[in-house]
Amino acid sequence: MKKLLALLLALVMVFSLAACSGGNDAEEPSGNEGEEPSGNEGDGGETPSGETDENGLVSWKLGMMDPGAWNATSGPLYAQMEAACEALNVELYYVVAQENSAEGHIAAIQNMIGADCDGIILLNGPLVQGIVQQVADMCDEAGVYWSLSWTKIEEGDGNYEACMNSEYFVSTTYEDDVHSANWCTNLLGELGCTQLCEIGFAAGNATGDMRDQGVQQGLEEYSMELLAEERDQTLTSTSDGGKTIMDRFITSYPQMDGLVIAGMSQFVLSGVVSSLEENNLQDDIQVTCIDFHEYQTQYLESGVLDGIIGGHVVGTYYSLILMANLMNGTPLTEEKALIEDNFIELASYEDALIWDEYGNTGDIYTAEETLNMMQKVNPDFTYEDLLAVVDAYSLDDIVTRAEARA
Amino acid sequence: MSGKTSAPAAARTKSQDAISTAQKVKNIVFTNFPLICLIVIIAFLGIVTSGSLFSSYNVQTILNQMFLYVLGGFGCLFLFAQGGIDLSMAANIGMAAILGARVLEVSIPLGIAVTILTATAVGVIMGLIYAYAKIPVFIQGLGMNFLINGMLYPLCGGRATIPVSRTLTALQSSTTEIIITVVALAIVILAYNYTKFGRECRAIGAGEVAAVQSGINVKRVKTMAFIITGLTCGIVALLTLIRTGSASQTTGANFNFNVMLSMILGGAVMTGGTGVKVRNAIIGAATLIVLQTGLGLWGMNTRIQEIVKGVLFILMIVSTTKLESKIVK
Amino acid sequence: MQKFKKLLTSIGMLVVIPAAVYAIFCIVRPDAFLTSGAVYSVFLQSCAACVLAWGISFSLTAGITDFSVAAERILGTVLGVILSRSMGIAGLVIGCLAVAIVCGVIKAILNSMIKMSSMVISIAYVYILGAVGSIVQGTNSMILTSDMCVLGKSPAIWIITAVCGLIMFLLNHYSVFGANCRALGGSNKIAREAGVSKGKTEGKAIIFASIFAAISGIMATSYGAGTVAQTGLASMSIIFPAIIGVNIGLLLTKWVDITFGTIAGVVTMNILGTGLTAMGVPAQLKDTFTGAFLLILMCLSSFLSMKRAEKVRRQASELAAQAAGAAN
Repeated sequence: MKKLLALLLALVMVFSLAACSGGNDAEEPSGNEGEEPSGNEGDGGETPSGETDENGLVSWKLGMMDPGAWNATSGPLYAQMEAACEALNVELYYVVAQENSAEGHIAAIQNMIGADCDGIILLNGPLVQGIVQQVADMCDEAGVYWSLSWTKIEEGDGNYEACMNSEYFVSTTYEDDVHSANWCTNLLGELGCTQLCEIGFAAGNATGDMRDQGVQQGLEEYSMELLAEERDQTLTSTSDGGKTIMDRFITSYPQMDGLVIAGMSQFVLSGVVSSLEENNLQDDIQVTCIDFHEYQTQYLESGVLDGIIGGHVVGTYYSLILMANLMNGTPLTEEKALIEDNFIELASYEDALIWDEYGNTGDIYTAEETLNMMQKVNPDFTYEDLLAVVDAYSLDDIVTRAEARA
Repeated sequence: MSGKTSAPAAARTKSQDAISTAQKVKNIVFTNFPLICLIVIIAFLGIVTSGSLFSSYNVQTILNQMFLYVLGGFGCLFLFAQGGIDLSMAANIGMAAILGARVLEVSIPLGIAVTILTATAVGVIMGLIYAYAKIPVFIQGLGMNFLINGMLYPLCGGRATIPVSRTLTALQSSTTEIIITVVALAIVILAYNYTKFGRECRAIGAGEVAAVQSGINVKRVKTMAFIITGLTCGIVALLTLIRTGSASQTTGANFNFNVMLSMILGGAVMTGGTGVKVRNAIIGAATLIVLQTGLGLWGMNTRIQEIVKGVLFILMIVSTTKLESKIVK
Repeated sequence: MQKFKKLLTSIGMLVVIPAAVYAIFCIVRPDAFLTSGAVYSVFLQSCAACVLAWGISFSLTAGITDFSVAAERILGTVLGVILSRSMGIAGLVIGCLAVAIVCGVIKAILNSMIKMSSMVISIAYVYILGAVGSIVQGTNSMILTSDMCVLGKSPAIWIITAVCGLIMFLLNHYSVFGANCRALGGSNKIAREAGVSKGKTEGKAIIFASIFAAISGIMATSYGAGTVAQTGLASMSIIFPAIIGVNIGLLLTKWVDITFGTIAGVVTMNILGTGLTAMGVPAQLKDTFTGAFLLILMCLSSFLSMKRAEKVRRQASELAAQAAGAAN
């Protein structure tokens, strides 16, 4: 019996330990123990009536998927979101998708709704898993506003219908993924490459499919040939896998003179570079890449990397601005917003240095700029102004704004 | 004289009775330890989340997320009882869902049939290998999982996801799920506890040689267990299609490991035999999902959640095994 | 002569599977495969995987299935890369080995306490180690600068692989530990009655697997110039090919030592991967080939051994019948 008691005590202890760490939660400085749920079940999508801060902004809870381990592509995105949420009196609530599957995503979204989130912003999970309609149904039923990012929807496809027919759908932001891959491929074409290989997302990924289109267009434009592609996730999700892939390409296709990394670059690029350096082929094989990488500046400087496109870390932020205005009773638009935002193109070492200094800071838009996009704080701000902000997003824009602040 | 001797004897009987009553209580506690853990977890998380764990939405969500794991557990029960596991379930569900979804675009009845038959066919193959080839069941499952996994993309026909028509997804509701669970529970209780087949499965788990000697057709029972698992994969695949509205290469991901984990959390023993019970599937799935949902509701950092969950799993599994060995019959 | 014949059979069996697969690809793409570079590259890719496979071979033969070895390896490399910033290559080695030893010892102690199937417990470890890995990583860069990558390049990578292989071979052939593992794998009950300590042997196997996994982590991180933390069950995909490699090795144990058999298994899988890439076939199909290959081989070998056992049994009963006849 004693042992049993000891075991029960151990269980309680684990929970108490966890309680302490839960209280110190970095993402939620306010803590949420004992907090009154704001109640959004079936109350017809009322905007939250929580406490207001010194700027007169109501407090509300935003659900997002847990970022997982940090990387250069999604890290700055979440850093920007955390900074903006703090400025906007928004509690950011992360949920883990236990499985990277439709089922896992649905469960995670249910858990966000269950935790009384007033709004949800998702990345391309619903698109990739094919569950946009299910998300719409769940959010409409619970009366929770929702937005998508990294997700292009077009008239005529099922996802478009699902979003437009959803009462609680706010916006989607997306980048032109055909363009990103096309930019990479064309750059190789301009560098004189003719025989390419490609590393990409596991086949059957909606974003990956768009990027493949871009690669295909580039191949046709510059009459290049695609020799081979690698999408095996057991290889593309580790850096040693990246090296193996490159070694195999070099062995199997000695004529290869260019490589497009259209996905998984955070994992494979360092391995690819290592293979090129070891085989002394940095000058013979040109490499371009989608999604920013933590060592891109060094690679661009040494010339092993010829161009990288990414910096698409502000789409969720625009969705947040739209949703926050809505929550504060001052919606910027009555329409469901479909916003295309820009990639940042780094074609030289100098570009990369600029990004490092001004872009890779975690707050591309500062708290002040964020507050200025709230109609409650700045009544003159309109939807058109937001679109202008979105449209301006570029390396120049980041530098200009930073210098103006200084 | 007789009085003198009978007094201590009576005392002894009395004390034996007292011990056996204490032992009986212990036995009850030890046997139901997973259930007790579940209750403690629910109570604790209920308190720390200020009752929001018990909101109607969350209760519904928990039941909804448990549903497929409970069904999966029921289906694996017969195999588990023999001391076997099926690690190919994840890929099998994926393949059945993809093929099913593609046929569903043409005809709903045909699509349903294809989903279930595909998975069952894999079950038949797995069963025959298990019964006749005698290779380690875990490697067999892993090999088959690899084999099927590699084919998922070609089977998708170059599409990222295959959507399922709204008429099918409209079938999803809590009521349907509860009805299916209750019916499945009734069937499984009957089949597992009250049929010769159920007894034979447990007998093989207790000792295969003895089972053979007592005249059980081990090969038939083994094959049947895998066919039931395959059939279950088919049903799970179909229900996943209804629930998620689409099939892709990730459909059913990690289902094999989660079902195994939830069975063990529910108190089942990996070696099979009488240690595997119908209730393991329900208690285990509930523990798994309540923890996942509750720790999140509590607002705990997501990384710490994973660690706490892992530590709790280990503690629960270790104590269940330790306590089970202390049960005096 | 007999000995020579046996040696020849051993070498034949060892080479036949990878050579057959290689030959097929040579026919399809001679330009890519009939080069010394291709062979070199396949072997280079197999080094880290071989060491990992050797590491888990003792625990697998002893009947322990531990999915958490990969998560442990990743945690070690994450810590190692961070330490390498201040301590250089020594930091990488210390980080990986320290994590391996700490985790290995904890797992070994828990294993002796639990006395049950390790597979499920190992899934719990995967969750814990994955989360700890991502906490340790934080926003630290996980890229290894090229001057730190010496251990993943020739000749160091060959030397490390050879030393690990030698240790593996010696342990398997000449140590009581190796024999005890095989005994436990054969029959737990008989082994224990014969005086094999289950707890101790399994504990050693678990720690051995951890250390070898750490070494393979050092090699893989240096080879690929980086690592990355993986949360949830994602890390498990690293361990499955190693498990399959060991099982192919185990199938060949009748003819060759498992040390070499495992090399054959791992190399075969890499040839298959390279070959499919060279043929422009979807890479995922490699899994189908590997899975089918494993199942067919295992079924064949199982049927053959059953047939042999049946033959022996029949011969024995015939002899018994003859003896009985003679006695009458």
